[in-house]
Amino acid sequence: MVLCERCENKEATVTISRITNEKKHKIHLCSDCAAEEGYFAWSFEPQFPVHSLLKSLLNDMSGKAASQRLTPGRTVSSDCPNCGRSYSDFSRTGFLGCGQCYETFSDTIKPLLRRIQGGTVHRGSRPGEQSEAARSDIRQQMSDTKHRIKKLKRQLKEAVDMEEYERAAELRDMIAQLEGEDHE
Amino acid sequence: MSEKQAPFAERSSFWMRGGGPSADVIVSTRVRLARNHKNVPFPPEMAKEHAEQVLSLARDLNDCLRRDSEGEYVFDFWPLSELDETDRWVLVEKHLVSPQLVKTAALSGVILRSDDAVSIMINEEDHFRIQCLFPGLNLTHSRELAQQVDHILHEVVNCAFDEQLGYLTTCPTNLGTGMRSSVMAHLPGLVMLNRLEDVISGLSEIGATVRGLYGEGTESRGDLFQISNRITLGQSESEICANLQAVIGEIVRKERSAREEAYGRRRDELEDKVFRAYGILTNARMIETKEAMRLLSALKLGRDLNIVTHVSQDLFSQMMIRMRPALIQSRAGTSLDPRQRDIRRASLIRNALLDS
Ligand SMILES: [Zn+2]
Ligand SMILES: [Zn+2]
Repeated sequence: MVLCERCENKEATVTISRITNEKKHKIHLCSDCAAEEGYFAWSFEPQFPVHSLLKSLLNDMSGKAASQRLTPGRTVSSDCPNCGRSYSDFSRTGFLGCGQCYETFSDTIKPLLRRIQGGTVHRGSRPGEQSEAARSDIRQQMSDTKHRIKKLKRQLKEAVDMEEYERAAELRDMIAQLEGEDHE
Repeated sequence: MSEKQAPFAERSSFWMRGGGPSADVIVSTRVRLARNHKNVPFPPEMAKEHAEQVLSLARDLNDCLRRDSEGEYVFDFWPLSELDETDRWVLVEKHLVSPQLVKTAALSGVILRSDDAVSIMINEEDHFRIQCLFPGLNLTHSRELAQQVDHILHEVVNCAFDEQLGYLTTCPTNLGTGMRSSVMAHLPGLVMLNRLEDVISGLSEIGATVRGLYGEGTESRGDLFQISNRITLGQSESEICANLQAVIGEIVRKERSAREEAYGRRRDELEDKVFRAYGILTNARMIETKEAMRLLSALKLGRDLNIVTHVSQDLFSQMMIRMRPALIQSRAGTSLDPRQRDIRRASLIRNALLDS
């Protein structure tokens, strides 16, 4: 009898294969632990079927790719010069090996992005942007009373938003006390 | 089993305290940002020394967060290699790290804020995954907190970023903002009336995804579903969250009306289901996770419809987490076989209900 690798108690009846860092692991679990695994994998984050999307995309492109293979000096399956990621590793897992891979495999990634994303140009935040504002917000030195009151009021608003009325009452008392001190 | 219990085992995570906006339908909100170091290969191509380099940056980040945090919060860094198997699974059971992170425990880690509202996974699919967890429907708070942590990350880590593509992630499904926002929704009303399919069909066209649990009946999984944004590139963080908020608002509205309709149409059946759940949970001496989950879901519905009133607001979130195997064993301080766990699980829930 093979014991479940997680609880080490019941007989392992389910084998789950998973790919982690390119290595295929097989884990043997009892039915209870397998159900738990399913639960946790789910409760955590959605997994998008990028492999299957990639596969269908590659099938669509195979005609084009075949003709490219005939072109001298141009190979579809060249490895990433920076990290060594092979094209087959990328197409098998949907995972890239470094930032430069996006250039290396751009022929595949561009049509993929058009299919899975809402656009091809980033419109969100950038490194360093607003960082001063955010820093001063999170780092505000609350040494003097006015700052401390301001901070408490912010927490009060949060507590009310969160419907944490007990905490809100506590904060209100603290603010009233500090405001009293401030006027002295 | 370690001598000393890890401090994150017994403490109540912020999201587990329940409440928050739309708490009758939305159990919790998570926003996560994926970030990678510019000059280090991503985890799939990472050598051991690269992984160690990232872990060392995580230590620096932890120091920065500690210095910057406002008084009441403390951050701690846990290399998973320094935790025993039970404590690693406790992190998974509290939704703070993924099962995948545990699989690579030798070279992975996690930074936790003392209320677990911030959890940063190190060397998972990406080098850094900042996650913020709130109770109820709290996309804005979660996103803002995640972005604050992100700003501090940039002081320590030179992130892989491209002018056109945004943040470069291991998987192209996370490219751009690197942001995935999701909520855990309790949808027993839509399940009862068989309306879930209608509600979720067509959501993917507007950039959202709903996921339930695999296989078996959703009932045994507590009627829980996860709703998240699908798109990460081409929209700003706040646009993505606003779109998701609209989708979720609609689902919340439909779930509430489904509950009222079900209650109106089959009042006796529904009350019977709720009171049976209450009866079993307050009396059972042994209970399996699946059965407990099904009954807790019925009890939560009963509470939200005011069929039962003497059940505390956080019971569902607390119990669905605390009854899991690793947490039960962590609390017992010893490993337990499934039968012993069933006994402890029954007593845990019984006592929580009798206290509330
Ligand atoms: Zn097992
Ligand atoms: Zn590369």
